[in-house]
Amino acid sequence: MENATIPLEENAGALPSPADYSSTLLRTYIEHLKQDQAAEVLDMGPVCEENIMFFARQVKRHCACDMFIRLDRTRRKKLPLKQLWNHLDYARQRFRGILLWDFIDHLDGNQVGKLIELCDHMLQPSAMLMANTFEERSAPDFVYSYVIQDNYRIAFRPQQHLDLPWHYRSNRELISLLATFRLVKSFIYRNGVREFLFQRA
Amino acid sequence: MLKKAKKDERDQFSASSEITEEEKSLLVSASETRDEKTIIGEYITIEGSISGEEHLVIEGSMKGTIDLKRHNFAIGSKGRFEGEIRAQKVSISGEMNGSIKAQDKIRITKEADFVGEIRAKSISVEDGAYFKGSIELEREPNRKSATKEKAPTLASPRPDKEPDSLAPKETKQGN
Repeated sequence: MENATIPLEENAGALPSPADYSSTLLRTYIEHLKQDQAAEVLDMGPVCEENIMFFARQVKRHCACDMFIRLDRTRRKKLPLKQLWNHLDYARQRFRGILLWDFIDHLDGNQVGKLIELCDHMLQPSAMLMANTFEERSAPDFVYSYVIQDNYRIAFRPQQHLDLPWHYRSNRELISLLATFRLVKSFIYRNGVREFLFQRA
Repeated sequence: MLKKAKKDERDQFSASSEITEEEKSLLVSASETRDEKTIIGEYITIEGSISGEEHLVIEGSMKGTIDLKRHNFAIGSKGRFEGEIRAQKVSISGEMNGSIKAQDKIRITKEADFVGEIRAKSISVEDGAYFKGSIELEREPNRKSATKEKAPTLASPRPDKEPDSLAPKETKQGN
């Protein structure tokens, strides 16, 4: 496993972000959510206006809890990391779907274990969990938000206010860490993004 | 302290013993068109409810309910609010814990620390906002089809030839 701290740089906006791509799994994920009129979804951030509007139009109620900024603040204030998980105080089996984006890339193995335990608690039976991660060759220079555009196209926007560690994991390591869930589909894109769609039993 | 951003011209109307319906409508439209607002200053703390017919900005702290119906409400960057808000448009730059129902738009700036529930026609959230909330959009029935995404059904052919499935690679490559 490789660890790196993603630097904060003022000129991040001028630097090339990973190339946009059309997300196959987001399309599948949304189709799954649309089967339930009362579906609620949890997005773990980074908070992004486009995504909030997108999901709020798709589901009855969209929840966003930016765990990226909470992790960043916990680290900056040198607070115990266990406090981070208090923010995910949602009711048992509340959500039809959870979007982690690449939050897992910024957590160590133990923290991922705790996150997955909470996701298992918050997800309904047969609900979907979507996670993204970068290939090692495409290690990101910054923390990015995944910005949903038309036709499930995803663009990247650097989040200069976030300074988080980055952990690379192989596909096998990732699937093993999320073994609580059944892997439905996974894809790798030319820009180095890997998408995983899991389902709760 | 409480400040008026502009002189409240409605006092002139209030002085009249009888207010006709026409005057009432003028009163509303006048306050809507004027850039008139009340500011609750940084060193003021309020507990209770506020309702009214002009814009309101909180720079201090408040716990309770705000009901402005056709006017706008804002929490400044030093403001703190806990409770329920009903207003036309709402802008949050300070701390808020509670629920917002806006007739129009809610704006959460990057300085905001928001925890709560939101119901509005639209919402804007700046990158960097410390945000935890649930969002329900007021849907306009006649625009229902316009807001639908162009998602094809599962049975339709997928245009994406770009990605490769990871699952077979996983077993073959063992990475």
